[in-house]
Amino acid sequence: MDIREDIRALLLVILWDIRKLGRYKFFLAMRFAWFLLQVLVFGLLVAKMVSIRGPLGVIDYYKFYIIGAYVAVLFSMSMLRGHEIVEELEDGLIDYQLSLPIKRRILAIGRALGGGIASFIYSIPMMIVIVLILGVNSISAVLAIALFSLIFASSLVGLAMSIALIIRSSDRLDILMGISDSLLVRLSTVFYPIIALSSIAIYYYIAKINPVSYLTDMIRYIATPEDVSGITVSDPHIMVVFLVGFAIASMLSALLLLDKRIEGGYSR
Amino acid sequence: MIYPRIITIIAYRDLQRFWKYKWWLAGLVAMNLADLFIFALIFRGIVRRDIVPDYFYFLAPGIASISAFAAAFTIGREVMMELRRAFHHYLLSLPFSRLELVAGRVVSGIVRGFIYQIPFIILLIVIAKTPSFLDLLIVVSTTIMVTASMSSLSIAISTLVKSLEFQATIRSLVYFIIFFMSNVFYPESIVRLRFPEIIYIMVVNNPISIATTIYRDIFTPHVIHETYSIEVLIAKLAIWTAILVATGSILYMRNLQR
Repeated sequence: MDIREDIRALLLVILWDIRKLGRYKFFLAMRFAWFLLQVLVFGLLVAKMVSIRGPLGVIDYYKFYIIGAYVAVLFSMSMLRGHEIVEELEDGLIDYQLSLPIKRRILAIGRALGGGIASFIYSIPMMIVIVLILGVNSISAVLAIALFSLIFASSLVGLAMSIALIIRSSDRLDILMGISDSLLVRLSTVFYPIIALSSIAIYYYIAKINPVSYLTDMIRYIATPEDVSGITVSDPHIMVVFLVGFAIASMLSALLLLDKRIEGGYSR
Repeated sequence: MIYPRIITIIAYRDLQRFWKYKWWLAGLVAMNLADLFIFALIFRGIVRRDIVPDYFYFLAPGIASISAFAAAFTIGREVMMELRRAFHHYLLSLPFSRLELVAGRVVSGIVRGFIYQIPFIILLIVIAKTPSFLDLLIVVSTTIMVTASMSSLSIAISTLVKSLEFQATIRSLVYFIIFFMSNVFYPESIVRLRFPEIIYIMVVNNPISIATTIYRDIFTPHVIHETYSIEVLIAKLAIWTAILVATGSILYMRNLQR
């Protein structure tokens, strides 16, 4: 197969994931409602109670929080793909895909990218809400937020895929996902700046290496640079390197695992 | 005539099914504990002390009421799945009355809520204070009322519309509204400050807010500035319970007889 065939196969796999979007209308409506309540009720009320000072003065917590709420939604929608993969393993769909004349690495990358794009498409209404509330009027800033969100969603789908392929049990995966969803969001800078976490060392160091913190603070840096100066998890250049590195690592792990561990079929 | 034994059997069967939702349970336990031991502990350092003196102790009773609410609310899902699979025809063929079946489902919600909430109540006793016998009775009756009302509400929603996806969406939406439009995460004074009076009235009279206020008044009274009459709160919750249990039962019965 030449490179053109590989690209065609990659596009087909990506499209297959995107075409499933229509099935989740009610799921999307539910997530959107949850997000709106977070932004219009929880965020507004909590912002009245919270007082945080950064190096440049008092931080507008409402602006700070709504970006975190968006990343939390994107995170949980992307991780949900892990469940889909296990369901597909159970239904024999992955076996069918492996029988297709598509290279395994193309299949792995395609599924991660397709899942990432689908999760990102789900999150677009929420992204529009935060862009409007924050008054981001630069097209390049909106595109940068979209790009980083897409990279992050694809990384998470790759990671969820890897975990699903290692665990190969819907029950165990259910428990792991349920716990990680709750812990990773709270042990990140979604709700609070990294300086607020410094009072509890273990939480601080987990948040420092948590990819959720990096995307959240990266979007904050792009959307409201004046508000987050000096309180992000790291320097913007390091955040970019971290997010890209995380994407490459999760894609590679999905690729290796799909290649090696898929043999032998699915077992409970 | 209603036989308590039959109600117990129905509730026991539902309780066994409760452990089936491992993901949901693991996620809920993790979320409740993470809210308390991560979110509340960190928020404690950034919340203004003049508004909430100690956010950790402020949130802990709220988590106890949310846990009972969430567990009791799952009974609506059972009802939905039974209707989807037409399993209710089998249930109706069994030797018990429809009223017993309906009562059994509400009791199932109470049992689920109770069992799930117990560790959080124990946690409150450990981190806050040991209640007196009378206070403990108030806690138990509050839990019974809040779980009965929320399971009935969940049953009512599950029987309202035919589309199952729509049902699930509405149930989640109602869950989110009750969750966020309560005083679990923020004091009522902040709600009054930020939103119109009507929203404030809704938040204060939300059954979850009422239960949370009762738990706070018993376990962590030092974190609330307002003064409440426990008798009035219990009366309000009793009214909610009577209305919601009656509505849920009538709707469930109507649906079973279709």
